[in-house]
Amino acid sequence: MKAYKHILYLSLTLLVTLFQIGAIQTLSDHTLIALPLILLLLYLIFFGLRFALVHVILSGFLLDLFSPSFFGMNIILLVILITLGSLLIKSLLSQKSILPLFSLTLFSTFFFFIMQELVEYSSDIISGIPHDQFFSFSFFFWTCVCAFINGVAISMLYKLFSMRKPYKLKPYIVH
Amino acid sequence: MQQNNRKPTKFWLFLTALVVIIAIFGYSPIRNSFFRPFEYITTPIVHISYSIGQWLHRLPHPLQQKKDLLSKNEKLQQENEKLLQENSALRALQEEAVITKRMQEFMDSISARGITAHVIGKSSSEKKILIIDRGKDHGIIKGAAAITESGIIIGTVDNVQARSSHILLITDSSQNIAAKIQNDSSSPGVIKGEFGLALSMELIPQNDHVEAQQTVVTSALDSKIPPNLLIGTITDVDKKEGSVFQNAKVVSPIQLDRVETISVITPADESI
Repeated sequence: MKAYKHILYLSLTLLVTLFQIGAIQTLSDHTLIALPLILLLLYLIFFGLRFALVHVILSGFLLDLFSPSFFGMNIILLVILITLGSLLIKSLLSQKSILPLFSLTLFSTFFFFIMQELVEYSSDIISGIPHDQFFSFSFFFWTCVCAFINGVAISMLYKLFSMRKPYKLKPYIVH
Repeated sequence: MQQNNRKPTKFWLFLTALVVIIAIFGYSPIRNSFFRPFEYITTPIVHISYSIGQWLHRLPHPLQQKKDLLSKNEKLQQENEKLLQENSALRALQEEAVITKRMQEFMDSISARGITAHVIGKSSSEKKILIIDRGKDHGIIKGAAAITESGIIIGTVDNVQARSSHILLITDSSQNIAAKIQNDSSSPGVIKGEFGLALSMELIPQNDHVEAQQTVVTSALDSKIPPNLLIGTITDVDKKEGSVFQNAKVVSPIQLDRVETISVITPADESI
């Protein structure tokens, strides 16, 4: 890939992550859509693990920069998530159905939010800060909503990009 | 793009080194100096994104009537806020019997120590945290009070970075603020957040006369929070026979997570 394309994709990751922090999270009391997660999964599908991991570092760093949780949590969680995703992707994804991709997104969203909640809960317990909303019904409900919206969004984007550039943007696993 | 197999070890080493460097700087004393350039670039973008988010939030939708009612309600709330703040300021100063002079002094001292900041985002976690575009470089310190333009406290500074900070809202369950009720006995208590939605005032002496519609303000117990900042009004009192303390439900006159501009009040002895 040419250097300018790398810069373009890095800029896209930067803007999408900052848009998530500034705009998406202020729209509602709960996260309705996780744009960086969608973008990173699309990178994983179309460009492979190594490309996705570079963007994970950038996106995770930005999320950590504006996060009240301990520094590095988002980078670590996203690295684990994308690495797990790359293992699942080879056995799950086929060109015939969108369902495995949808399932992968559901898994990724649940994994990210549940791990995030778990880490924050542990960190609060260690610091002696009360945390009365640990794995509440509301948390699970809104995580389900977010996972569903992410799933629909990624399926649509996947179809869109696969149709527009059938040769250049084939999932890397079918090359 | 093809998965290239060129120098895979080098790639993984580079990636690991990058993560380690970020982690080391993230916890080092020079963290702010290291992250400052990144914050210079990212904070304005997050600010613009926040404005877009606020604009999207205000967009008309099919339930326009509800929107109009909400808008009217917001206007009334703003008027109510103003009146409540005036009321609490007057009550606070009436206690000291030099109304006009002291009121001016009070407002001057607050505004002189206030650092105006814009809200640029919200935390992704379940915690009730706002991100503002002012940090250590602007004189923000941990524990300082954050108030609205009308002088209502919304939270305290929880985490300070070079050019941004986190405000832990008073509705968060980990928040504790020393407060007093503006009644005959200036009943003391502690304001705590409940599930990120409501406020509860605890540890109020059982024998004090507490009732709905009384105003709750900050007390002078916390050196970093100025006294007499409006918190809200009491809506319900929970008084159990035989108990040493009574509790009260308190409602803030504003929608805490919808504020756009705030002032962070630096303590008198630490103002820049």
